[in-house]
Order: sequence, then structure tokens, then C-alpha cells
Amino acid sequence: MDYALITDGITKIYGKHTVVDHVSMHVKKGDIYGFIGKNGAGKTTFMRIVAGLAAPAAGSMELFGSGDLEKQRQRLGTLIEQPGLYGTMTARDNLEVVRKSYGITGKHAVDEMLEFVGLAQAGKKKVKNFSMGMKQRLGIAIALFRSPDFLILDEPINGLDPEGIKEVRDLLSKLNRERQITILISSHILGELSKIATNYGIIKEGVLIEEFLAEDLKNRCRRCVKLVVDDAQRATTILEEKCHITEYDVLEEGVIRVFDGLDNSWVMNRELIEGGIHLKESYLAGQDLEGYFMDLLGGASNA
Amino acid sequence: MLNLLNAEFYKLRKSKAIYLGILVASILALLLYGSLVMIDKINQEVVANGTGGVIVSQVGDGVEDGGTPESMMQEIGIIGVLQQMFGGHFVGIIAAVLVSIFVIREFSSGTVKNLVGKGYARPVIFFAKMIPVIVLMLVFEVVVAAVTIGMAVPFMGWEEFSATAWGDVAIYMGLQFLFGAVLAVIFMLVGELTRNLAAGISVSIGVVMFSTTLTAGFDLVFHGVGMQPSKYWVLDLLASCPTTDCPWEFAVRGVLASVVWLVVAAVLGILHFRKADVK
Repeated sequence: MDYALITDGITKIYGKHTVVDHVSMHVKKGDIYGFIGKNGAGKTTFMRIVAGLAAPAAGSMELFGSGDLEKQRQRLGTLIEQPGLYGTMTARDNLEVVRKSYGITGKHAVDEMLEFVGLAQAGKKKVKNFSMGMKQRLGIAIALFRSPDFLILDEPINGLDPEGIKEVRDLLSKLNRERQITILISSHILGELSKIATNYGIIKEGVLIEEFLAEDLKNRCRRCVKLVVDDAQRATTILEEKCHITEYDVLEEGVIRVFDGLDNSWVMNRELIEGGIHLKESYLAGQDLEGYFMDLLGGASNA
Repeated sequence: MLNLLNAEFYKLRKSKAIYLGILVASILALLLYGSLVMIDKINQEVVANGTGGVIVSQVGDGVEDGGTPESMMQEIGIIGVLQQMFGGHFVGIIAAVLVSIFVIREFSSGTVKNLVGKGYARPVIFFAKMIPVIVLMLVFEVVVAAVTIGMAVPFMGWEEFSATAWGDVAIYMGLQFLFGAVLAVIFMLVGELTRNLAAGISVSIGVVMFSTTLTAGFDLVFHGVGMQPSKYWVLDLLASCPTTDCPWEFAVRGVLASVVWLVVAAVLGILHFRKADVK
């Protein structure tokens, strides 16, 4: 399988504090990888390490299957923390600096990019007078210069109005779909992230606690009846035969999730009890994505 | 590397602070002339008043009645004014501010991460910044020198201008340009280490103003072993650069010491930049 990024035990320590703790991440080519964690969980530090802005204390990584990171980073586009912009210059001048740095010939590239991110009308306004959203757009424009294969975006929709958020979301989806650009994106706005992400990684206190597919997430968040029983095998037989349940899974010993017939859960309970099953728990479960992440991260207010 | 240089020079051209700094330095050159004229005038009047109107002038070995006290402007000449500008703290302090702004804003605005994150080797980024910094310093010094020399005609008169030993001026300015280039790289190193505008400017100005005092102290410490470290420190060389009949020994020592300091500052800067995290 082709991976845009594989890290193995990446660790970063500031003083006595381990900010990133043995993170082993796997981002496949073409993925939109949603990177989720509370403030201070280590998302930005990890992204900075991948982008070469910070050196890891331990661990290794490969970009596009190669350990020649300096070379492979030429294929990256990054927007990490605040966009790197010259406040006393205009948007055009900022992009002109980037164009010259990357050796892109033809000034039309700057015009096209300004048009692309909706800053063509910014005119002679200096960047220091831009709104947060305009700065983010310009930061995205810089990240997109020289057609990157892999975008690393740290909170790219911060400060954007709802319309701007939708535009960025559509833009990222389009880039991923049409140009097969792989995207590693962190965001506090989990609802937005869930609209585009194909994979997720959850980081908590520097540790990547879980990586999973978007489909898995939907499955995990799906409304269901959870049954905790003493004999799962016998219980599922009863559910199939007596209640005609077909959609269910067994998570661990004794825990069954039933996805159909939710309105008649009392029937399931009755049949199981009558069938001699020791029914310890029976409850409706399932939540929205935000709630699921909150539970995973420990219930704090920002993810 | 060429692409990065192209971008750096573009930034240099677009930087208003640079133009402002050069303008301020040029105005300082004019003010220096103005103050010299004023001092000259005061001197002449003090002499005249102090002698109760009787003025004597030395002519050869004898003294004659009459005449006017010698003009200080004519005494120091154009090269003396250049020495005031370059050998003192004027140029150094303004250059410290300009270089600090040009270098440190890359870190304060976070723009350096656009390059590091794109896979450019850090030493290449450092060199691509260092070369424009040296060019900035040279342009700055050339403009200040041009203004200083150009203003000599209205302030000192054509006679003084045409009597100037231009060979000495060329050697003096050549060495000043060299010392200035080294100083610019040292300011860049300070900027790289501090990454904070206020700290960078303060430390750089501190280097300009107090490093020679420090080397004078070292001279005393090492006097016993016959060493004089100040002979090799770029700011001492800059201040003590002879304006006339520059000895070969000084020129060679100045060039060699400059090369060493330039290499040391660049290597230290690169080593730190390679290791340090970029925010």
C-alpha cells in the first residue's frame, strides 16, 4: 500500500515534558486524514516535525516511501499555526515572494492563485490589515503553490466565517478528488472535519491513541441497542430466530450491538430473558461525531 | 539558491524600512556637516572674542598679526567626515536596526517556515539571506558615503573637494565596506540567535557600542603575554582604520581578520539554524 506519511515512534520532548510520545501515524496516499486532539495534545508539534520545522527527539519517518525527507518535503504544502506572511506587503507581493522562491516562471501563477482563494480583489491592502479569514486564505494559497502532493494543514478554518469554512472545505475536497492531493488536517470544528475526512487519528497527551477509517467512525457512532449478556452466542441466535434481527455485531465478550428493530427493543429484552439469557444491561446507544470524540478525548470542551 | 536569492532581493526592494534607514543615515550625514559648520563658526568667534579683537596667525616659524583661525572643516577634510560617519557609531547603529528588521521578521512573521517546510536545506536558506544582508549593508554604506562626499562641495567648497586625496578615500572606504559586510553577518547571527526584534536590535547595538570597551579590557588582561586582541576585532579595526597612508600591515590584518570573523559568524549562524526549531 502506498503511504504519503509513515512515522514510527516520533517523540518530542521539551525540558521534562514529552509533547509527542512515540507517535506512529499512517497516512495513505489520497487520504484526508483528520488529526484530532485537545489544545496542547501535540497535534501542532507533530505536524511541525513532519514539515521539518522541529526535530524529533526520537523516532523516524518516511514521506512517500522515502527517508530522504529534505527532497520529499518539496512535495509538501504546509499551513501550520499562523500563516507565514509579510504584514507590510500586499497579498500579491507575498505570493510574488513565494513564486520567486519556488522558481515558478510567469506572474500569472500569482493571479491564478489569488483568484483561486478569493483574494483577487484584495488590491493594495496590506496583509497586516487583513481579517483572520483573509490571512488564512492567503496561507492556504502559499501552501498550494507549486502543486503539492501532500498538504499539512493545522487548523486551516480557524477564523473563517461559515461561508469561508464551506469554501475551504469544498476546496480541500476538490483538491483531494481532482488532484489526488493527500491532506493531513487538524481542526477544532469536528463537524466540519467529519464532512471531508476519510481517516482519523486521535492524539491525547502526546500519544496517538487510535487511527481509524471514516466508515469505522460512522459505524461506531451509529444508533444501536447495546446488550450486555452472559452468553453472546446463544443471545445472537435468539435475536436472529425470535426477533428476526440481521444487523448486529459482537464487540467483546458479552457485548452485542443491534442496529435494527430499535423501536422494539423491549421485544428483544423479553425474548432474551425468556430464552434463559442473563441480560445484565440493555440500553440505546449512539451519538453524534462530536460527542464520540469528546468521549474518546476525555470529555473536554475543545478537541 | 538562485530562486531564493531572487525572492530575498525582491523583499529587500519592497522593504520600506530599508529606504527609511538609508534616508535617516543620509540626514545624519547632513546633520554632521551642519554641526561641524556650527562648531567651526563658534570656534572662530570664541578666538576672536577671547583675543579682544587681536588675532595672530602662525606663518611658518613666525607669528603675524591678522588672519583668521584655521577652519576645522578644512582641517579634517572629506575623509575626516567619512571617518566620523563610519568609524563612529552612526552607521553601525542604523545598520544594526536595518539588518535586524530584515532578518528577524522572517522568524517573527513565521515566513521562514514557508521555506523550511518546502524542503530547502537550512544552510542554503541561511546563505540566501546572508548574501542580501551583505548587499544591503554595502548599498547602505555606498549611499551614506555618496551623500557625505557629495555634500562636501556645498559645505567645504570645491577647492577642498578637488584637493582630497581620493586614493586614500578609496582605500579607507574599501576597508570600511569589508568591515561593514562582516558586521552585517554578525548582526545576522545575533538576529538568528535571538529571533526577537527588540532583543536582536538591542544586542546588535550593544555589540556596536560596547564591544570595543570589552576588547580594550582583553588587551589589558593579555598585555602580559604580548597579545592585543583588539587588533583583530572588526569593530576596533573599523574605528582605527587609518584615513591616510594606510599601512600594508593594517590592510592585510584587516582583510584576514574580516574573513575569519565572517566565516565564524556564518558557520555559527548555520549551525544554530540547522539545529533550532522554527516557529
